[in-house]
Amino acid sequence: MAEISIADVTKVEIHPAIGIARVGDSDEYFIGPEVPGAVPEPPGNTLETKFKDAQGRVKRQAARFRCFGYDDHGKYVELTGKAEVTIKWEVTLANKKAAAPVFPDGEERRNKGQQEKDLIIAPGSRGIVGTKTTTPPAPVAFDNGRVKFTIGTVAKVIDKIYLGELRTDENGCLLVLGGRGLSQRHPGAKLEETFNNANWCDDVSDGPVRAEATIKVGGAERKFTAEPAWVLAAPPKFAPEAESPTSLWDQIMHAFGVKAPARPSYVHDVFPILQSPRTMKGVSQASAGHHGWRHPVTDEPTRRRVFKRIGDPTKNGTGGTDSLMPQLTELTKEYPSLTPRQYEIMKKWHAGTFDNDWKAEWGYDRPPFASFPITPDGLDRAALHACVGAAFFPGIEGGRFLIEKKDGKPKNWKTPYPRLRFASHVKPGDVTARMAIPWQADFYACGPVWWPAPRPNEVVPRNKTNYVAWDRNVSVDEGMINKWSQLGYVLRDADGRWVEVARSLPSPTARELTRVVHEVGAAVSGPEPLWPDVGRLAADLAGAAVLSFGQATTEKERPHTWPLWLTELDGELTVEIRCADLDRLEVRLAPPMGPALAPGDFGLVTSRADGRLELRVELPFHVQAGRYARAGLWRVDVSADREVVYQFAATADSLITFPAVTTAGQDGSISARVDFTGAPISDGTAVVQPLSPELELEEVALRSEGATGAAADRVAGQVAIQKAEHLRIQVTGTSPMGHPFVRERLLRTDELP
Amino acid sequence: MAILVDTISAQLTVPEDDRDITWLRESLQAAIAVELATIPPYLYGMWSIKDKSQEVYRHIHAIVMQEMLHMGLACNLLSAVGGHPRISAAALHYPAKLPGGVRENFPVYLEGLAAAPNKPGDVVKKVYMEIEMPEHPVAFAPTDGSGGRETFPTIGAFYQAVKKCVNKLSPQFGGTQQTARAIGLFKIAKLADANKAIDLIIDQGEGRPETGPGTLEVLPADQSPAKVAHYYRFKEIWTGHHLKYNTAQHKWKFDGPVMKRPAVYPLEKLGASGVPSPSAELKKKLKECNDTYHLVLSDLETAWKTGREDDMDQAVDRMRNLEDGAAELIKYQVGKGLPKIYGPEFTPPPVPRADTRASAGRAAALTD
Repeated sequence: MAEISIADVTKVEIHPAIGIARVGDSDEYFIGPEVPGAVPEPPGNTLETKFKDAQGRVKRQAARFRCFGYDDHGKYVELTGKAEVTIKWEVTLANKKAAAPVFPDGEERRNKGQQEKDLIIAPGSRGIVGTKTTTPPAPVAFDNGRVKFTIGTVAKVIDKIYLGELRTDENGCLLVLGGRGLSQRHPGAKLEETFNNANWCDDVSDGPVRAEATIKVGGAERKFTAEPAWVLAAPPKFAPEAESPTSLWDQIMHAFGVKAPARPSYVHDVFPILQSPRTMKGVSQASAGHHGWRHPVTDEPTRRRVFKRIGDPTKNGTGGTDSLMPQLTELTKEYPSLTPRQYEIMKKWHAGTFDNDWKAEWGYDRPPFASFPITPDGLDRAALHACVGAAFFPGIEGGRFLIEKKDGKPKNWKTPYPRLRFASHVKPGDVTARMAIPWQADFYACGPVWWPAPRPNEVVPRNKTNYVAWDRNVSVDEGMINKWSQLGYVLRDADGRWVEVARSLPSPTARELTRVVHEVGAAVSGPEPLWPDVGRLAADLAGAAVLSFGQATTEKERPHTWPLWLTELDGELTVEIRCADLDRLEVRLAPPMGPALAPGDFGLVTSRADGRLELRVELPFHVQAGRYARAGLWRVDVSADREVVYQFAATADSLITFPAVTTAGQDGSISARVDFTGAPISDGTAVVQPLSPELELEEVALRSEGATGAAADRVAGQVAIQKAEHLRIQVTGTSPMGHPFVRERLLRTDELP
Repeated sequence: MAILVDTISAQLTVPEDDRDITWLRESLQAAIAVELATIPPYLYGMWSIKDKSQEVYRHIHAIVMQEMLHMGLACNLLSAVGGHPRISAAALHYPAKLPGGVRENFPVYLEGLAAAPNKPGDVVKKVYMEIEMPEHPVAFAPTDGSGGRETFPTIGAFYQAVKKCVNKLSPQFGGTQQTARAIGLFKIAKLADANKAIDLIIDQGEGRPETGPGTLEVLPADQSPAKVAHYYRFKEIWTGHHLKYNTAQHKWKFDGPVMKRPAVYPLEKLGASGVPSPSAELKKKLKECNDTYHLVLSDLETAWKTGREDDMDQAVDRMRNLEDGAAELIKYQVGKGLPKIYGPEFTPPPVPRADTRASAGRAAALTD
């Protein structure tokens, strides 16, 4: 479309209609995608420094807004960047999460009983003037947010909350940056579930973007007020090039009833649907070796075969053959599926009814988006295309708010597609209000097959060949609060391989893994119902994968915590506690996420008799709404109101066992060997602690044998002790998916070969 | 397959001291062809099974995956020692005859599974078990004229010879190689990798004889022969019974739980000239399968030329087209109520076979 003259402008619009910023803990930022399907290209010479800065902090994604002037025929010219144009931008941001209805049922409000005004972070509006200039104005920050949380009588004010800032670029375009990814809480608040944690706040936000454009042509000055656009400051997207099968744009098109084109364009309609699966192997192990087709996919055998695998949304996601794609988690219907509009496009593609507008010189991977023109419609779609459109439970950037209907019409929109403007009742903070609070809780919980593009499931680290869990070593949901920015980005290297880069989260050391804060006696003894001696305990634990054991005495005011490190190879967790005064003990089993479980809780098989309490939980454990706990740091908390002696043993039904532990007596000394052969682990080391009734003897670390390097399958060493009746062998290691573990064995020395 | 057997026999007649890098590369190219040769017969039988969730389907599928792994390893080994895997040219025309001293004219052909177990004419027995039989492997050399069974080199002996040569030459490993996580394909970067690859092929493909010392009879209770070698897996399918360890007799026997023979399409045995007088529509569907098969082979060859992961992905993607094409082909014939139903023909690609002729020529020369 030929540009119109600025003099002919009669109306001004802001695009994108909905811009997407993303939080980050770095001062640096990059511009979000501006052409549908394009990948952000932050400056950075290496993959490591593209999306993170030199200190390893996550760069923020800025939402860039432009103004376009239209004539009476719908033709337009971009105003931003024109010397004749000055734009007064105004943005309002708010975070209403802590005062939003509880997700999902919404019958009550989050933080019920606390005043709504105390719960909403509303720093108000900020303005900035955009003109063509070589020195853009200083940033204007939304840095006076405030909430007050009250637990009982204890109030906590969190102030100076920073939700983001406004900048302009050299063309006078508005840049909106979001928060730092900093989630805060009342000191008494705990992270107890996935969606609605009380007395927590985060720094995502949303709100309107306004513009008043002044155009000076030949001494005449005209002012235009644009219809507001909107900005969402959302969580990061850790695989910027991966695409969700159904994007936010797709879901909104469906909600608005926008029909599929009569004759779809390969580039604009078909490519996005076929590109998403091509990117999935970067973030999901199950996709490895699949979706290897190349653009443009025009041959009949591939069209027929691929179409067969797509679930039919008009048949509740069934209707294809084999496994039904896309295989994502969906709770509101039996099977996930593309939107009916997307499915219709695929149907036409399958039938050969599409325009193959792919150019041969583009190769087979993706169009050269950088050379595509920036258009108002393209800006609208590009921003929403890079966001998650299914499943909204509750979603990542936005959720059901965007597609809710009233009387069959979009409820929250004044002018739906193609204008995409919200209704006047929509206020700052409304769009993100019902997302999880804090966002990190849901981000941790939404492992396998929720939203693998922003939140990868399994990844291949650079210079490695095997998949590992992307969230390895986060260990528990609270870990995501502080460690999210240490997680890796998934990008493509020069050879086109998907690699995880820029990860700085270390593995826990063996010391950290085996550390127990309270005092533990490994040499157990006592009258019934306690294990009378180590020998009896050893006999009971023989053959099991032992996670931890010992004897302890409860302390007033100080609960004991037994850490249990589990992996993807563990199937059932059993905890046994023996105590003569069992009723005095309060015992809780805390999975890596979600609420701690009390004996008798649903899902926790409990038996209690004769001073023995046994708790059993099947893994993976369903925490809530399709979120499962398995690998990570589980905890058993034990407390009592007085000193009580108790014994503890935790075992797992596990593929990690050490059947070939052998020790040999030799002149009173013992040589120990832990043989990992046959255990499907990534690496491991062992420590031997001789147990003696008289004294606790020093531990001896076993050294790797042979030259097998990191994948040592055997460690051995001499234990120079003569009196120990029992050996405690403590093995630490890493599972194939990268999760740390601790396993123990208890052996009698007088029975050694 | 005759060319193959000749090649392998010829390779084995070269005195050990004369086995150089060229010998090694030719042997590995022959290994690629041997591994590829087994795949179409197994696929043809597997695709005759109606329900993919059936145990027999899954067993054959697992074996096909292992054959693909073996072929991939042979390609990596060849690339690693400076050769260039020729995959299109390695494809055979079925039925392929195996000239043999002991069992003359043992043919490898394409046919669907029999409807019931224990049928003497079942392709599982006549072809699959024969191909994998530990004592009579696919490539036994009839050319040394001794006639004695022990002197026939087995496929295992052939791989042992290859292994010995690799270790003798200990060449610099390099080349463009491929990995494929789904089948466990790994790269050959050092001698230990090469030995691991060859051992794996021998263990999975060769296995132990059923009787005699050091055989099935003495395999311990915790080590199922069906996990050790394809032959026993196929025999389970054929007999319709799982192997079970008989604790009284201390040996494995085919009298375990029933392995149900699944419902099958009666896919006819394919003759040398393919499906007889097909209609135009059927011809089109057969051609699509053949074309896709040829693309799979050339995609694989490209993947080993470039070493790129996405080239391998494309080849794998195309394999799924082949599977779907076969299903469509069968569905069409069943729908038409045709009296005889066929699977894909697996005709070899119509490419100039100059390379193959050259190596066959050299093999012949070596035999002379």
